[in-house]
Amino acid sequence: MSFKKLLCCIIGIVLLLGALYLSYHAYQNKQEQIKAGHAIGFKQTLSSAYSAYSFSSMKLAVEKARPYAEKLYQKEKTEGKTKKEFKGFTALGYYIDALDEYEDQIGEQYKLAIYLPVLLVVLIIVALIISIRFGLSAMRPLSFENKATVFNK
Amino acid sequence: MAQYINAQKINFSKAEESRFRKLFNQWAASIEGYESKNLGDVLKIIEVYDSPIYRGLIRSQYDNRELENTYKRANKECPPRTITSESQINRWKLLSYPTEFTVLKKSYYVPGTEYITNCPECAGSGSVRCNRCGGNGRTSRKIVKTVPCKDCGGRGYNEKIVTKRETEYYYDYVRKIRTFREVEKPYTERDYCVYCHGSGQREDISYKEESCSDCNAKGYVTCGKCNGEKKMINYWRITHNQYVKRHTDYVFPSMIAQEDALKMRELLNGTITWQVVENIRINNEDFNHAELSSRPIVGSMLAKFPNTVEHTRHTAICFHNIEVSECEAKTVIYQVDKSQFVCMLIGSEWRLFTVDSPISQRVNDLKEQVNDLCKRHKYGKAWELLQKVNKYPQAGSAEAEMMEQLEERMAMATRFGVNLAMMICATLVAPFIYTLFTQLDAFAPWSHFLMDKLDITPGAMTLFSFVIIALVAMKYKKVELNESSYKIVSPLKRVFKGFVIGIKESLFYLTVVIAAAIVGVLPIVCLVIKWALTIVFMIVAIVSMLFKGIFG
Ligand SMILES: [Zn+2]
Ligand SMILES: [Zn+2]
Ligand SMILES: [Zn+2]
Repeated sequence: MSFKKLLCCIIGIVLLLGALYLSYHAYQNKQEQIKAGHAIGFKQTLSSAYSAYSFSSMKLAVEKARPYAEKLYQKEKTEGKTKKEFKGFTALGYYIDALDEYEDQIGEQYKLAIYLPVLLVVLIIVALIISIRFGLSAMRPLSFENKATVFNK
Repeated sequence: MAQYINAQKINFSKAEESRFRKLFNQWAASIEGYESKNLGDVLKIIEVYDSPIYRGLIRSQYDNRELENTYKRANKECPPRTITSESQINRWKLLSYPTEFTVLKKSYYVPGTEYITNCPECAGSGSVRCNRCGGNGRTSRKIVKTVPCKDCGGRGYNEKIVTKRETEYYYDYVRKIRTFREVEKPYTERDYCVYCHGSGQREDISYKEESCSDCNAKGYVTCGKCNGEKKMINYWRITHNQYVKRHTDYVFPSMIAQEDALKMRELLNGTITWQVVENIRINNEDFNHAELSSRPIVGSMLAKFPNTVEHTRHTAICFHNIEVSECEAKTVIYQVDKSQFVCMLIGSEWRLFTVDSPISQRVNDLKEQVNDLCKRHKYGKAWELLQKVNKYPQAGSAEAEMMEQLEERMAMATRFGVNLAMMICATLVAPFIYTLFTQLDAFAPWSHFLMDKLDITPGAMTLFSFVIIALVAMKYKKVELNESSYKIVSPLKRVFKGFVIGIKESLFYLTVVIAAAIVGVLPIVCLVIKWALTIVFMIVAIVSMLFKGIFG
């Protein structure tokens, strides 16, 4: 047991050290690229990634992706592959396809703005399911079976 | 007839009262968890009864007589035979009945049944066939010798020559190239001998005939039963078995309930001194004696004794003895805080038996409160209270089980906190990880290679990272939690503690996931998950197609 733990620890430390070394290397590379004007600053990309959670950025991303999604939809319709209307889940499917197909045209930032809220919704649903499960377990009645355990001494 | 008392009201003397109070103080102090140790001083004695406990010991004398026809050596003269069949023997008149309690087993011959006859074993010939040689006077002896195995010549294996096809390289001088051809080469292979299992040795068994040593080759021996005397005495034997059965019964004062009486019996089996009050003898099997049945204590004891005594064949019941003993006991009714309780003082040494008491009432009250708190879903407070109950010596397995259940429910709040923290952490850290994966090109070269080869984007990796973390979060059970993280009364504090643990765990797993991604482990994990999901989807698709095929 203790040997297993030690082994896990050693592997973890090696992994971490390797990761630290590589990230340091990458960070230096990035700094040079920024100095040379080939890349955007790290802080900027980070803040834009966080802004993906805002509703306005999602709206913007949807607007940006719409023509591509509609293009895919029209293409399939003329080919006779679909008879459904561009609505609800069908539309969502086309959006996801468009994000895959026209990744370069739409841009990473907008892609994130659509994916992250979806991830958030999934997490909230999972959290809700867990709370409901715990809540239901806690509501089950619990008591001593009165007569059987009453003391007589 | 002896004096029987059910319960007679008496008064404690000053000395007796102080002795009682002191005893009660000692008892209360001995119970861990009970707060007021001076219970003996605060109680108010309401009534005292002289209420002895009676013990009835019923002993029954049994007499069993079995007849058996048998033989003995004819080494003496025989008296004239007067009895020729079993029906002429009256087993009950042959021997006297015991008058005192007797435990004895003895055999006698029945006079007048002896007569000389041929030995039943040898039919009067004096000799019987020899058992060893079966009557032919010769026996055969088994001789085991180890010899070399004749199937393999003692080697343990046989060799055989097999040919194997092999590729042989050679230089073709005509085509002037190095080339190969298939050739057949002989090999020797060893087949291990199945007859000697590869040992090379086998057992050679032979039998040698010789004359029987038991009967000196005569084929018959002297009869063992009659010792060669040809004649024996046939007679009837009677086995007389006398034994005693016991049955103990108690009579408790009428104010003691049946289930308390059962508990008291355990106490009475100990070192209590009994004083014999009465000794009644009942002859034969007469248990429904009207005079005895109407007697106060004896009558109730006889009522509990089975009416028909179990009878095996050839067994008689000679007499019964009922011995009634008395153990002095006092029943005290006392009052504490307007509630009345009952206890008994048993024997001259005053062994305390509490029928009910403020302590049992207190424990029952506490348990009632625990139940009430559980009903209102206040598990932390119920758990705190149950710990008080568990300090009492009366707490048993039901309490332990309740404790376990409560702790399980308390742990739920902690688990909720852990999972909540993990979800929030995941949400907050997701953009950071994404940026890290896409912008900061920190992956190992092979990591890049793997991602390209396996068609996994940084975005997919982010998503998969959170699938992994969520799976870890879902696995949380009570046993995986530290005791100090859920053994907290306040539910909010429990959730908070869980939240803190969740943050710690999230940060740990995030670090692991990032490190795994950079070093190139995560792409492989992602691939495995991707394949697993694909397989699941395929199964779902096939099943749905089948359903459509069946019901559509
Ligand atoms: Zn052999
Ligand atoms: Zn013989
Ligand atoms: Zn004989």
